[in-house]
Amino acid sequence: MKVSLNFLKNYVDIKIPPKKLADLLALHTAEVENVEDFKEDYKNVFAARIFDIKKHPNADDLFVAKADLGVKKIQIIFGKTFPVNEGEMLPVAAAPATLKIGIVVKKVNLRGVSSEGMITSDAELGLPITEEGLVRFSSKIKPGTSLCKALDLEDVVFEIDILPNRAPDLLSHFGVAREVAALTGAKLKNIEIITKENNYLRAADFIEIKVQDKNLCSRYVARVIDNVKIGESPLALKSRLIASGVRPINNVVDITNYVMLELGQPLHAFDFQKLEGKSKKKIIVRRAKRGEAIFTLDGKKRELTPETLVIADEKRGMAIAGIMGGRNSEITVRTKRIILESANFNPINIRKSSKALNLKTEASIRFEKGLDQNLAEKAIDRAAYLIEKIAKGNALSGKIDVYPRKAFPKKLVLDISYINKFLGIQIPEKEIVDILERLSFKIKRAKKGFLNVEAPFFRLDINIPEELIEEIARIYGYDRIEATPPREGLTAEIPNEYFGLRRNIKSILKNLSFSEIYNYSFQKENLLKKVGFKEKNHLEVLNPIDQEMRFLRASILPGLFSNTKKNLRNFESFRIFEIGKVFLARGLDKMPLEKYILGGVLVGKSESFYTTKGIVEELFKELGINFSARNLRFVSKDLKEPYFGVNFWHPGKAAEVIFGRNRVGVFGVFHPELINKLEINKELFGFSFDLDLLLKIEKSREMFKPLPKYPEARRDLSIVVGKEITAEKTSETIKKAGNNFVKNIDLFDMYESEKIGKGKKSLAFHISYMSESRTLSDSEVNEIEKKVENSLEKKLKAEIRRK
Amino acid sequence: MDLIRKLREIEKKALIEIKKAPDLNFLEKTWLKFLSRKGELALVMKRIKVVKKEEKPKIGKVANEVKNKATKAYDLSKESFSRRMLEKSLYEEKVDITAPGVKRIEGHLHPITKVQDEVVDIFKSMGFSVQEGTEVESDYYNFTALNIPVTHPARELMDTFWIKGRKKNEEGRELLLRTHTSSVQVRTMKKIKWPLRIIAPGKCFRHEATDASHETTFHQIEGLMISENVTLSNLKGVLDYFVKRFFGAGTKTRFRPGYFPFVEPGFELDITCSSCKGRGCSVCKKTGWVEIIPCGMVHPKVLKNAGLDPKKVTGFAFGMGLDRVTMMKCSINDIRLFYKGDLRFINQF
Repeated sequence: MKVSLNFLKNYVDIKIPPKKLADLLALHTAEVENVEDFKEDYKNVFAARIFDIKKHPNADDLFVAKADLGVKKIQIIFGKTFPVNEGEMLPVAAAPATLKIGIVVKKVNLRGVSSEGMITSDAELGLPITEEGLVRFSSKIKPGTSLCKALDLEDVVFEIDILPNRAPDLLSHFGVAREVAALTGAKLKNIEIITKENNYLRAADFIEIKVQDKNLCSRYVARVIDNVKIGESPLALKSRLIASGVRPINNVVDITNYVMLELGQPLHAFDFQKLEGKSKKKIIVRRAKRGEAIFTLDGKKRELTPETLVIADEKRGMAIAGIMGGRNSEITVRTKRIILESANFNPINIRKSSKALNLKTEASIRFEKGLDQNLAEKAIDRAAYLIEKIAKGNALSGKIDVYPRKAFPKKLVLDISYINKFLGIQIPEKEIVDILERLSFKIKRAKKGFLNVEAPFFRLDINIPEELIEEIARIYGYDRIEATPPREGLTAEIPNEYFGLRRNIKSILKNLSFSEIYNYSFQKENLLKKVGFKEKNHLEVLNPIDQEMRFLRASILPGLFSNTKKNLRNFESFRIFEIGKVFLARGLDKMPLEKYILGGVLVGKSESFYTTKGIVEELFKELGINFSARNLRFVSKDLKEPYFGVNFWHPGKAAEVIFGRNRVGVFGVFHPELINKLEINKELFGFSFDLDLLLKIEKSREMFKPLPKYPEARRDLSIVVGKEITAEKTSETIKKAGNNFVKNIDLFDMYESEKIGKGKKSLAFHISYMSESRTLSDSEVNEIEKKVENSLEKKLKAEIRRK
Repeated sequence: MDLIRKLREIEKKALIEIKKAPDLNFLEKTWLKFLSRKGELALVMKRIKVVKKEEKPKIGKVANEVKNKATKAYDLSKESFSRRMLEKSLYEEKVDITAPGVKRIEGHLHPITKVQDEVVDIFKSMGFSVQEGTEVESDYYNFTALNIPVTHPARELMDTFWIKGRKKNEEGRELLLRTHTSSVQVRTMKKIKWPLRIIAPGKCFRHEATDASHETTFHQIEGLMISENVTLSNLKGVLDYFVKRFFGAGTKTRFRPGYFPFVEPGFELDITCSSCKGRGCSVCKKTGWVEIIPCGMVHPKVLKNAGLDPKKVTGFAFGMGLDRVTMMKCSINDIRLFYKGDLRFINQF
């Protein structure tokens, strides 16, 4: 909300500088986002007499003129947006100047003619001053008068971000003044209300109010004011509106807006004559009819639904309650008698209507946050007083007040010891009482240690003792509350193995040269389609930002494929991983299953099935999981990614990792067909593990084995076997044949080639032989080696390759 | 005594030549000339056979002296030559120390992971445990349980992604993508009761148009402490400590009034702007302060919703946007970079 310092000063004396006041409000009340000093902001804008207007010699759409700034005359150039008359007084910004909204005015040469300033429209000034959009000063103003002086805008405006709960009492200048008074200790001044009612005519004889839905309108107050003279408002009133960001229209409308800015109560004025009915008019507060429409004051046709409340006469809607008035009952220069409305509408209903109509107004903003019901009466009286004073009207006696359920003040019992226990400091009772009283709370002493507190009507936000404690603490000053570490509630850490596991994996993979990716949980439909997803069972967002992104991922891998494709534009090789949630629907009546999956992709010349396997082995080892060939099997034909119709993996170059009955994950080479569909022309490697299942696997720690007592003998062995003979099988055979003497077998080379023959492969091992009881002699080792060779030849039909 | 003189002459000549030797080659020649088996000294020594017996020891002694002196001089000179040669060759071997070192292929954690770990560790050091919630959440835990009923305007501030077609879940309520990690609060209180000190990092979602500072996806970390006698002063104590450890010991904090339906009172915790050190700049909108942690004392209704007795226990809660603090800490100017999977970005961290 824009708060004018001059406006505030009507109600409270302010002796501190604006910046100080802003800080005070920020620390105790609400954030002040901006402080605008108009005198500073508009210091180079003046009321200038424009004369000597000529066409620009080199541009058809431009004019050249002189601007009389009193102390000097400058040349300016202007266009055709606004007609400019010879001798007229207009606002001119003299170069060099920077306007509030960021426009820089400097001396320029426009097609051979120099310009030393510009005529500034309302929009360029950032002020809502006129309907036309350009201020035309009266000729009484002296040329060279500053804009602020000419418009009574030597003001400072605070942009305050009022918290939603404080909107009922703070969305007004009087409300902010009340707060300032409480903060500075200054006295709050009264608002003058002396309505002179015309004794001969009674309002009740001219209007009748019918509120159909009392839940949507808890109070409706109306007055009738006669003989108003519609005209321009006095400068002092206009300037307050302008500073608050509201454009002046005419005196009656301006007064309704002024009172709203002053007290926070939105008001509306109808032209009495325009309502249906002869001498007595009927105002009906009702829900809109199906198909009903209304032309609002902004000239737009608004289609309404029964959700929206309207103010109607007997025939048609005249205003959208609490949001905006209608064209059909608008105040014009011809208006003589007006009906003034001051009501209290249901906040939720106004909010919904405002949202449905996509129409936010100063009125709707206030109604949707709730208002003190008492304010309706005070505001209408204040407005009537001002209309009598300024628009020469006279109010008919009496007012119509439909107010079926009166509001009562809220009373709370405050336990003083609880205050201090809650805050952790000791505030003396005297200070507590003083603070609450400064904030207009009424205090009665109850039994010892307790206070009976009555909240003022305008504090709709106070309902529980904790809210009173907030009031005490914020005025006392949060900065005065000491910071102390809590000594209560110390418990041992609640272990979270799942979180620890993820952190651990991330660190291991980082050390294995992986980069970590965060993808969206939403997955692009066209990507999913490419990799053969099934729409069924994918969780879908009801209101996606983009229809393409409406599915929640059921697999971590497609996102990584997409990352891979994009990154291949900049990098030839990389390793990436993501740990993220996937979502699996479990039918209509169950929460979806959500679990963390680790996915990884490797690409590049040096990557292979075996580098990938090496990573998986290292990962498992680091996690303390014993991992061997027994835990592996080729991917089964029917292994499909959850909710996908296809297998992502190469049937001959990928392995499932099995622990107990669970397949905890898969690693290896991605299916070439998949890669083709993704249009990635590279072999891709990767893995995917279910972290829930990984967590369940029993972890073990390395156990110490005594250091060997006797030296080992190392021999190399090179063989050729059938392709189908696995490395695992070969190792087992060697071990078995070598009795207990084979301590270690290290496969260091494996290849296939035409030279060794089709369907065959060559394996080369380093083998360590050792005895637990003696040093083996050369001949003993030879003997064992021979046995190993014989066994390989016999059992695996291996051919021993000798150098 | 002719021999002794002769020896002394050899000594003198040898020492002079050794001294003036310009290089190792010359030095070696000098050695050959005087000290080798066919050198001058050896030749003189051959003549010792002809001298008188009683003079032999004396001459022998002098000869030895000469030999030792010359050898020592020769050794010293030789050492100095070889040291100089080594120095020269080492100098010639010099490398370009400014050229980059050979790197192992580095791995990189996502910057949010790094910041999250840092934050978690600081709170762990204060006895907080990590608890996590689900990303698909029920309306109840995300809103209603947190004192944000269906009609509450705060719902509009947190534009929500709703999950399609599955209106009813176990709670009988609609499913959504959690809009904040505060959804963990009531779930955790129900599970652990009290006392508790927990933090809950995680992914959150808001239905809003994206730009450099807004994302549909972002990360938060929630904090919650519940026990007897938990005070506002304690909230300040915990967050002050965190801020000083995380943002630096010189960082100042201030608590301002804030409003969140699930806390009462609610605060905004500001810290002194790190880019201008509190002087005022564009980052802090010239205020010198940056809003960093919304927080407050847990609202009695929230405690009740979790089955706890507000007369018995109190607590505080706070939340912090991890994306935003990561952006602040690493000078990242576009939040969308976090979720693009671009290695040119990630590999910077």
